[in-house]
Amino acid sequence: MLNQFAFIGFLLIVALILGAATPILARLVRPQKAIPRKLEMDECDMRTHGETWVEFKAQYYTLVIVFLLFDVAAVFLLPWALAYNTLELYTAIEVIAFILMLLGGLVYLWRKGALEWL
Amino acid sequence: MTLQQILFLIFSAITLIAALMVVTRRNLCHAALFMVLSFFGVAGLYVLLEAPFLAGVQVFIYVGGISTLIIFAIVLTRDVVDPTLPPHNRQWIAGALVMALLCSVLIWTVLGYQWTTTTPGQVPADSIARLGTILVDPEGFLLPFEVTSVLLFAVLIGAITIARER
Amino acid sequence: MEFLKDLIINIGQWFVALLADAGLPDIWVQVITLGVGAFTLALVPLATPFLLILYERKVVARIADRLGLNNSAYGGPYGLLQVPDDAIKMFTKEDSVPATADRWVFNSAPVVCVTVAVLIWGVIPLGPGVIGSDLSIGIFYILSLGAGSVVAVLMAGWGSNNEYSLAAALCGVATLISREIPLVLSVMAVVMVVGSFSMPDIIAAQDQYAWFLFAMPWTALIFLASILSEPGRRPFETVKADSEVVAGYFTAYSKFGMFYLAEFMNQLAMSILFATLFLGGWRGPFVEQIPILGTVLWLAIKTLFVMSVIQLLHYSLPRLRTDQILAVTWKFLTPLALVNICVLALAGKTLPPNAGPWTRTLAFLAANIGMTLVVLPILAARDRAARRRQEQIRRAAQPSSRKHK
Repeated sequence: MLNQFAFIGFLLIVALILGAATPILARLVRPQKAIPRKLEMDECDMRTHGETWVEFKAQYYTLVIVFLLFDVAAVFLLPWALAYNTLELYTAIEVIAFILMLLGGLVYLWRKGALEWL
Repeated sequence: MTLQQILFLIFSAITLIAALMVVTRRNLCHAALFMVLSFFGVAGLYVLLEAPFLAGVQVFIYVGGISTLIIFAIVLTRDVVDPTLPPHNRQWIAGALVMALLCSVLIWTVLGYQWTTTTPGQVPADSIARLGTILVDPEGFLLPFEVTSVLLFAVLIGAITIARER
Repeated sequence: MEFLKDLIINIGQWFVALLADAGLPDIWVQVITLGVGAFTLALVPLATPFLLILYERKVVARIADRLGLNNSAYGGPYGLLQVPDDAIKMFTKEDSVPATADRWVFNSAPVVCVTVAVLIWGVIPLGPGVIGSDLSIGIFYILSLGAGSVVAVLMAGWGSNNEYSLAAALCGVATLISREIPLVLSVMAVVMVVGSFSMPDIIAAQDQYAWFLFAMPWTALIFLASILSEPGRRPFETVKADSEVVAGYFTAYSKFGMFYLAEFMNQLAMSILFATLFLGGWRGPFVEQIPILGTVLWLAIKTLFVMSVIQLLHYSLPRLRTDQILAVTWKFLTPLALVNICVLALAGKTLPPNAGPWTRTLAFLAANIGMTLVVLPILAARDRAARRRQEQIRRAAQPSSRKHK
């Protein structure tokens, strides 16, 4: 098993080297004529104004919490899905109960208007 | 030293150094990114322990979920990159005491434990499927499994209630 | 001709034999083989865009009813040289890092982005026996890597240190994590039927059953909808919404070539993934006799087909707003995927245990048709309700405007 991951490790190293080498090599051939105005942050000549760290809406935070919960639920279901072929009908019903609970949570959020992000 | 031991040292070093950086960096975004690196190091350790599913879960939940949650929390707070702010608050003495206590307990346990030096058994190829079977087995972990769904439901409602109450 | 039958594997074995003959110790033979193998595999996604970007440009030209690349000054015949030209231009272009940017985070974000896009290729089966590494957690490994691209987007938005990039990164991450749930749940449906995370096992199972596109079309649809946002394809394209948040999280990058490359690699990887999970991968007639056909013919045709579908969607549909994307993923795709798992779980287990693969395929198909009969009326009813609301709003607005006259 470790042999299989050895390949992934090598791939990771190769990818990191290739990804890092390109910008470094490019630095050797490209012009470097930085003037202060060029290094200012703008987009289509619209300079940014105010600070970057304005407070963003709290809905983003609730979105990530809900995502995290469903993520955890999915991880609980994955081993069951793997073993599904060898299991009996009643286990499917147990998992459906699990999923119905999640669906109940989702419906609750929906009714509360918590799914209206942004 | 075998190759596995070298790899273990490398992954532990990545995890620990990254963890150290998390607490020493003044810049909160750097701290959060080092935390991601630390999580990856732990995933590498799981791979070395021949638990690839656990490594996947580590990346999936911790990097994908928890780090994103923390990074979003940082984005939602003010003054995260102000280097003039003190890195700790008034409770740092109490925190240091608790940590020293915990650390000594851990060291005491590790030193006092009778470590077996036999070679570990072969990890069965269908270990994840066995996990799935025992999770939904009434003799196994069916009750915790179903309670988990109730817990997730409760957390979902709680999180929304707290976030909306403003 | 005997050599050509299994070209890629033969080259690999020839290479290993060559190293062993040179008298290297076993461990070095292994290390060099793994290194060269990883390098070769990494070159596949890095090099194929050169052809496929040209293909995409031709496709968009046909959709927009124009000729597309055919005769630009440096493009060469049929525009064949245009993409290399662009690459050289990208390579030699001045790279200015904004003075306010966080240099380390700013410069490492594209590296992380490309690395994650390359790592996906480690478990994708490209032909019979041609696979980087047949991990036991194969498809789950790809799902976990999705976390890496979220981190890359946040790093780019954060490192740029300006509100355009940060706001765009937050929107992008919001869509990326929302589509992750239906993605995992649709993959879970496939894993349920196959009983393995390993990619070759998923392909082998489709030999027994029908292609999963026909066995469980709803799963395929959910999967297709959720893979669109990672490579930034419409209608789920807020990751880089050109006209709203300019170039999205990489606005501040004067050189966005790496992001562009990673995006294209992702699109290609996702197309192959769809072809592998739902269209039987490299399986096809004559593969047993001539295995190389699986790579160069069947997988290539299926991947190009999926990619063309994605491009057709991208160039003909309007883009949804971020909140609309979140509404689609959380109010439609997620509940649908959850119900899909329940329905398939019941359909597979109500059959007698000795039922053959074909009976099971038909049962899954019947369950899917049943789902369609329930889902479509619900959608139609909601559509009618929304139309009625709009009609009421318009009627309420009209009399008042007459009064003003």
